[in-house]
Amino acid sequence: MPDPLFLSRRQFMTRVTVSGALGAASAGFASSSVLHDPVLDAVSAWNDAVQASLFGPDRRAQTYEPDDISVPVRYNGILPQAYVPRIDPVSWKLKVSGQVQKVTGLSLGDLGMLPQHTQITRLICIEGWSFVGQWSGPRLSDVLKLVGADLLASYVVFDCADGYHTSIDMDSAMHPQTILAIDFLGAPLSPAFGAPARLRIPTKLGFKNAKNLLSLKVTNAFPGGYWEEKGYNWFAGL
Amino acid sequence: MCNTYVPALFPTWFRCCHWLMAGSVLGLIVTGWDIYNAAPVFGFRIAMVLTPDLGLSQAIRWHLFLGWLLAIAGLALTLGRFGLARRVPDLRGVSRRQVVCEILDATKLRMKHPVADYLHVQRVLYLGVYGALLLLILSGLALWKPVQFQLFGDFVGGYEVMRQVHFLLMASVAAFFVIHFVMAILAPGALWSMLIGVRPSPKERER
Repeated sequence: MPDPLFLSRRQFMTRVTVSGALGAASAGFASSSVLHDPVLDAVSAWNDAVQASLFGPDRRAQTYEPDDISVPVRYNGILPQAYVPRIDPVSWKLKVSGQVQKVTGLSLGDLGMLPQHTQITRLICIEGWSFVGQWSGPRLSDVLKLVGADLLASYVVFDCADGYHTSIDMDSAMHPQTILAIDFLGAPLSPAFGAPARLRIPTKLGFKNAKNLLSLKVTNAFPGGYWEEKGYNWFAGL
Repeated sequence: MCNTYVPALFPTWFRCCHWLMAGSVLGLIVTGWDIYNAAPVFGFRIAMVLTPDLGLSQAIRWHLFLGWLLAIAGLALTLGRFGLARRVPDLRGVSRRQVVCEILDATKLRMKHPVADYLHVQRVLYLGVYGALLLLILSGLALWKPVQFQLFGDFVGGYEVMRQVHFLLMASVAAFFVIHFVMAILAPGALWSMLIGVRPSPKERER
C-alpha cells in the first residue's frame, strides 16, 4: 500500500516526463516560426476584433492647447526625407473610386470648399514615440458623403505617391476627428509632412496616417497595407 | 509520523498557472525590451544580447499574444486561489513583526519554515508581484489603447508618462523574477515541488 502523501515511482516518472515534454514543446513553439506564426496571426486577427468592439464612434482622442505643440516635429516615412515625392498642388487631384456614386477626382479647391476642422492632437507612432501637432482639413466623413460613398462598405483604402498604401475600417473613417488634412501647423502641408493632402486619424497609430495621397477607394475586399503586410496589426486603433 | 492532513504543496492547476505566468512574464519582459529599443523612453537602450532581437513587428505580435496568455493564466490563478480551489499556501495574515524577524533571520542564512506554509516575507513578495502584474496589464492596456482607455492615462499624467510607468513596473517584476529564481534554486526541493508537485517529506513536515 503506497503512502498517499508521497508520489509513487510511477507517478514521479510520469510527472517528470510530462513536465519535460511540456517544456520541450514550449521551446519548440517559441523557436519555430512554422509553429508559432499561425498562432500569432490568429491573435492579431482576434486583436482586430477586440479593437473594433472597443472603438467608440463618439469617443474622441484627447485634444491639446497650442502651447502643447511639439517643437520640432519628427519626420517619419518609408523614404528618406530628401526623396519624398513633390506633387504639383495645382494639377493634383485625389482619385476617388470603388463603391461610390461619383468616380471622380477632388482638387485642393474641392477639399477647401467643405467645412474645415482644426485639431491639435497627439500622433503616436507604433515605435512608441509621439508628438503633438495641429492639422486642418475637411472631415473624411464629409468627403465620403460628397462622393456618395456606400457607407455600409467595410474599408477605405489610401494610395500614396511614394508607393505606400494603407486602409481603415468604415467606422473609424466616419469618426468626427478623422480628417483629410491639407494644413499642418497653420500652413499648407510640406511634402515631408504629406502634401498636398494626408489622412489625419488620431484614433489610430501613426502608420495609418497616410501622406502624399493619390487615391481613395471604398471597398468590401480586405485591402491590407504596406506595414500591415510586414506584420503590423491591421486595425491599429488607439 | 503524524496523521494530520497535510495539503499537497502545489496542486496541478496551480502549477500550470504558475508556469504559464512565469513563461509569459519572461517573454513579455524580453519582447518588451525589443519594443522599448525601437524608441527608448529613457535615455538608454537594452543591450541587444539580452533581447530576442525579433524586430518591432514580431516583438509586438509576441508581446500581445503573451499579454493575453498572462491575463488568462492570472485570472485562472486568482479564481483558483481566492474562490474555487483554495488548497494552496495562504498569502493572508502578514504580520509585520514576523516579516522583520524573518529578514533578520535571513541575514544569518536561517530560512526554515513548515513546507506547507509561506514565510511572511514570501507572502509580501507574492502579493507585491501580484499587484505589479495587475498594474502592468492595466498600464499595458492604456498604452495599447490610449484613446479608448484615456482615463488610465489621465490618472498618471498622459501617454508619455504611462510609457515610463509601464517600464518601471517591468523593472520591479524583473527584480522579483531574479530574487524568486535564486530562492527557488537555493531552497531544497522548491523547484521539484513547483515542477511536479511532490509532497513534503515527513521530516520537513515536522519542521
